[in-house]
Amino acid sequence: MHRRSELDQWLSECATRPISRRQFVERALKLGLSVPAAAALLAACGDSDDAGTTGQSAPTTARAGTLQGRVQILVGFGTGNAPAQVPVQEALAQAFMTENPGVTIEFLRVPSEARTKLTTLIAGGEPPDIVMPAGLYGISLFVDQDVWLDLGPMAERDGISLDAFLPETAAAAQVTNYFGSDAAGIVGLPVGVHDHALAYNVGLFEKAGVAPPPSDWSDASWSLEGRFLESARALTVDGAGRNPGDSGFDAGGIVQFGVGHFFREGVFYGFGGHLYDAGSKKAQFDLPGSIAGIQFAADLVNRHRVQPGTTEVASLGAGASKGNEEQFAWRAGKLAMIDMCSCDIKSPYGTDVPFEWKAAAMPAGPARRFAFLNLDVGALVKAGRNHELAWQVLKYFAVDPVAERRLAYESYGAVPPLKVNRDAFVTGIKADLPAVDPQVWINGFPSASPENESWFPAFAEVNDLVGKTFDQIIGGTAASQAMPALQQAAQAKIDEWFRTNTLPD
Amino acid sequence: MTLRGRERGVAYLFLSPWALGFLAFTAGPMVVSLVLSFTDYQVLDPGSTTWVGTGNYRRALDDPVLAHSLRVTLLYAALAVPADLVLGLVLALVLNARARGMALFRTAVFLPVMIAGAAGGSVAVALLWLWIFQPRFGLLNHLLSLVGLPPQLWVYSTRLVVPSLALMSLWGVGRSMLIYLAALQRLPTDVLWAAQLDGAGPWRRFARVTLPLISPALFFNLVLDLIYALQTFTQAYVVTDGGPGDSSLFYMLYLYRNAFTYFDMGYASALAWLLFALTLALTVLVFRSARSWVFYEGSPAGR
Repeated sequence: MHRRSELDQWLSECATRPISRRQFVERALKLGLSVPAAAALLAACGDSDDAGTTGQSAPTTARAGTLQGRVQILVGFGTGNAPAQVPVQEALAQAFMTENPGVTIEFLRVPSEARTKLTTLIAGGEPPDIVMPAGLYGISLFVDQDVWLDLGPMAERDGISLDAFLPETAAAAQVTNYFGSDAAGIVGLPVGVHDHALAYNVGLFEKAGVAPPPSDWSDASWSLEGRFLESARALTVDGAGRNPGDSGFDAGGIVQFGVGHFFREGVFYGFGGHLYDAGSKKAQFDLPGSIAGIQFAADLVNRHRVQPGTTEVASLGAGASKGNEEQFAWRAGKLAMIDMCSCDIKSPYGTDVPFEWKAAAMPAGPARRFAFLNLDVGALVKAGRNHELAWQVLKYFAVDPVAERRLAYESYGAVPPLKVNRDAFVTGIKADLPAVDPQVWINGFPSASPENESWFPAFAEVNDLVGKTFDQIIGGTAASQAMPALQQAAQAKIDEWFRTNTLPD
Repeated sequence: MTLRGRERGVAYLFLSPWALGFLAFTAGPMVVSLVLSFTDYQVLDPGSTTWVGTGNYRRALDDPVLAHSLRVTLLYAALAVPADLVLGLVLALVLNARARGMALFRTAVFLPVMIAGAAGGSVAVALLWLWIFQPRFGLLNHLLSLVGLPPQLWVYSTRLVVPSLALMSLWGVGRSMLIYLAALQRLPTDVLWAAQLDGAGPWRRFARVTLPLISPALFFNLVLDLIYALQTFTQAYVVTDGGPGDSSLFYMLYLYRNAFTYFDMGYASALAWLLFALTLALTVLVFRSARSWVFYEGSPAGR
């Protein structure tokens, strides 16, 4: 009843005076309105711009015009610094500064070594106020150092709930295991979310006479050990046109691989692999699924020969700059299938590719179908000097529907995390790249998880160990030998962490 | 004030910018890092710093990864230092010849140093060498194929990665060449003529006259090369990031990871001081040995 009266009061208010999108969204969230209800009310309130689709942002806040100070945003914890991404960010910042003449927003762009830069800035007493966009992995690396401000109290005060965001992103925004499973703390406001799907070269499939992979994420026949592997074999070709398993197949002279840029960690999780169990405080590298998963990832390279190893990637990608070899090989038509993040659709992986490519579901492992979910958040630095002003700026970028849509899709190429903007990615991709079906990525959300980036004790040290061990296994060491050693070493790091640290209540 | 006093004052005045810079940016941080090496200083949470005494140093003695990184670094030094000393000397001897256009060749040999810096460790050069090492299309494997040798994996091989990086360090050989060349051009010609008149052949003149006379330059290059080799960072960081596996995890790279990846600045400071002690010990050894093989003109007994 109370909520009903608040709603009535609000409707009468908005009939008599203009209301900004920000005020609208904050109040709608406070009242727990559904998306259709909120959209209907927005229309009823006479806002001519359909939130989430067109128009300039209106960064009005309750304190519009009264805010004073300088906010520095560090950009470098992931995407955000590509030349094409910068103008939208600058325009949004300018819009906020025009609305709030006392505020200066500066972008500190750090294309590489951003983590070191953040460390030295904080140590030197010149911390940035906001880090945005920041992927969960980067966030997790700094959790132990208590770098991030828990946004929970300010969000609660201003009536901002993670319920406003797509459920996948809301859960991820809470850096699992640290702020608590009861969702008590918020490490950052979501500003962009990506998941992964399989991209395939249509021409290579047709040439090999292989049925295209399904776009249906529930297709049980599309499995890592089944159709996926069969297809990858048929699409891997040596200089004489032979496939792996054919007599005389030249494993050293493969000119086209069935699969590439296919993350070993995805296979690891698909087989039931896990990194850490919060309940028992134990590393999980000796689980049968963990061992079988990384072994299968290695087998794709060494046994089945359908995926290039490190040196083969370097060879296939000759001509590309360092780190872009697989992208180069894909564009050169030497990889039939790749794991494609939605963040790469508008990058050179997806645009201006000289052949037709389509999206499909990721293949399922024996334990689950797994796709990565990469969440970018805007996080406030605890050492920052003006949390309140930084919070107002962050809210503008993350909660104002128009600003959020422009930042997430037009700048980062991401799915906007706000529920009210959930269609922006699909409509945007369809308009920008008509040949690509963006719905495949959206449909993959239920299979997507950010657990590879979620913090756990001794996060950086254990991840280093994991990387090295996985390298060894892909290099030929048996997982059954390497993983128990990894389990022991990782558990020692975790136990050491618990000797000197305690988890927050 | 006397003239001598005024001169001294002016000297200190002109020295003061360097001295202040040294105190603020070298000596000061060194003292601070020494203090930090006895703490568990967390760079992002300095308030929680506690005194751990010699704990970081004891931990280093028991750190297998550190021992591995030290082995990698010493192997690299054992390969890179002699290679630079020998190749630099050979090039200097060749470029010391009196021939038309020699200045051009000397410039060409020294030019890479201008790009790489004295220690041969610039990012641009590291990326260039990544291409030279490229297994299928790289220059090195192409050269091997010309003489009928099989291609190698170079920096992608756990076995060859350190020798490959030592090979890469020769990009900066122009620095030692230049120092040798300066020494060769200051050789007293009367001594060489006297040796020739006494019937000494070219090899004997080189071994018995030239080499002892340029031994101070050799000594100088040896000390510098040793210090640079122990501080190798950029090549490993850019080209291999310590890999494959940990096979090129140099001491400095491990130190950097402790400081900026694990945020364990206290331990990293201790590692820095241990490296300083090791470098100092090796340099002292080289200086001690110099008494028996470095010839300084005019010194008592010729040595």
